[in-house]
Amino acid sequence: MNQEALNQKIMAAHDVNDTTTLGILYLKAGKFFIANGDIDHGCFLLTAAYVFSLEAGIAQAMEAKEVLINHGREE
Amino acid sequence: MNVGFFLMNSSGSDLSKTLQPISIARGLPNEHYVDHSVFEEEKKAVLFDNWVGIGIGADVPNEGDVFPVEFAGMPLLIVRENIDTIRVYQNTCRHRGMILIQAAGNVRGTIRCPYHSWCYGLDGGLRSTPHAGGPGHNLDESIDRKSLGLIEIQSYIYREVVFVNISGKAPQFTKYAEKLMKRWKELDKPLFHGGKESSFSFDVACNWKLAVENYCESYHLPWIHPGLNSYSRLEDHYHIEEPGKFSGQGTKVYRQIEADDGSRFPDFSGLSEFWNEGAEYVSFFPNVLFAAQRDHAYAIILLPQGPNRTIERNEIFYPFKPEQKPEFDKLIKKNARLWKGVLSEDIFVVEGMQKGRSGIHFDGGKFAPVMDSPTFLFHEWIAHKVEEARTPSKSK
Repeated sequence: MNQEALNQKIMAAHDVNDTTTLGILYLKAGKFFIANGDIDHGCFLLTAAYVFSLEAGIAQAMEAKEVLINHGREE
Repeated sequence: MNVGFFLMNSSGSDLSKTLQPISIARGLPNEHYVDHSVFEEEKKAVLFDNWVGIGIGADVPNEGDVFPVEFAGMPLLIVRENIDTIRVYQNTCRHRGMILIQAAGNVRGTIRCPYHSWCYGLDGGLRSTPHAGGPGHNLDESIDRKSLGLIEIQSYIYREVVFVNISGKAPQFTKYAEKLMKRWKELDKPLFHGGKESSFSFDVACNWKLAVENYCESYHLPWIHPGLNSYSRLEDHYHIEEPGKFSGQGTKVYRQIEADDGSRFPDFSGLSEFWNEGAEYVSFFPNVLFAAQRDHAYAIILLPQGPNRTIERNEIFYPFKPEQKPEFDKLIKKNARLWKGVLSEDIFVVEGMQKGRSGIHFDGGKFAPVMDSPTFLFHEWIAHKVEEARTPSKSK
C-alpha cells in the first residue's frame, strides 16, 4: 500500500472514530518511517498508534510501545 | 412579623429558629430553597461533605462501562473496573482540565482525553502522555505519571446505589450509614435492577430538599395519595426517626402487588415475620430515598440542578434477576407503572412548596410536632451541617 492510500484510510477511520483501525494503520505507517530511517516522524506516528490501540484495548498497543521505548520515547 | 428573608447577611442565613425544639421551631428559611449563594453553601456543607447517591450499579453493568454524572455541578465518572469493583473519579483530565467522558458507554482499553489524548487506565493510572516532550517524544522529566492519575472520589455501593463523599471529609460509609445498615440488616440481600421500565426520572421544579421532606412523612398520604385510604390508613403508619442520620415512615399494612392471575413477586430470603405486612420508606440524608419491602425495593436519587430544579431518578430492584424469571416481565412493568403513578402524585406538592417559598413573608413554616417530626429532623440536620461549616470549631 502506498502512503497516499494509507493516509486516505487513516482519515476515513478518523471520520468514524474507529480506534481499532486507527491503531493498526498508524502502527503500519510508523513502522514504515522507522524502517526508512525517519525516527522522529516514525515515533510521532507510533505515538498515535499507541494511544488509539490503548483506547481500543488491542494488542498493537504493546508493539507500538515497545518500539517507542527502544527509541527512548516511552516508559 | 418574622421577615427572616431580609436578615440574611454576610454570615449567611438565620438558622436560629430552625435549631429550636420542634414545638417552637420554624423550618429552614426561604433562601435555602431559592437563593443561589445558599445553594452553593449547602452544596459544600451538605452535599459534598457527606455521602450522596449519584447513580446505581446497573449504570455500569459491564467491565469498562463508564457513566458520567454531573452532581451539583461536580463532574464525576462512574467506572466499572471489573466485575467486583466500581470506582468513581473526577471526570477531569489532569492536563488541561478537559471533561474526559461526555456520554455513557464502554471503554475497551483506556480512557482517552479527547483534547491532547492523555490516556488513563480504568484503575485511574495515567498511562500515556503523547507528545508531551515534543512531537514523538512522550516523556518529560517534570511529568510524573504516578502522581497524575485520575482523582478518585471515595465511593461505596449500598443497596445498589453508588454513594460518594466528594470532599473526603465524611466518616467511612459503613460508619456514616451504620444505623440504617443495622436497622435493615436482614434486608441486606442481593438486589437486581428491574430493567429499562424500572428506571424512570422526573425533572421537577423544586429544591431537592423538598423531595426529601415530602418523602419522609406520612402526614400527606391521605390527601395526596387517597388511593391508599382504603387499605393503608394514616393510623397504620409510624415515624422512623434517627436524628442526624435518616428519617421516614413505615407502614404495618403493606400489600403486595399481584398479577392478573394472582401471582406475586418472590420475597427476599430469610425475612422475619415483621416484613409480611411491614414496609419502610426512609430519607437517608442527604439525597437518597429508600424503600424496603418484602418483594421489591426502590431507591430515589435526587440530583440537584440548582436551587429550584431537581432530577429525581427512580430505580426499582427485585430479589431475582429479571432475565432469569421472564414470567414476571408483565408484573415488573405493572409495578413500575404503579410506582410511577404514585410518585408522580407528589410532584405538584413539591413544586407548589417551591413556589410558596417565593412568598417573602413565609417564615420557614410551623411544624405540627406529632406529625412532622421526621421532616423536622431533616431541617435540623441541614441547619446543623450548615452551621458546622460556618463555624468549623463546632463540629469538633
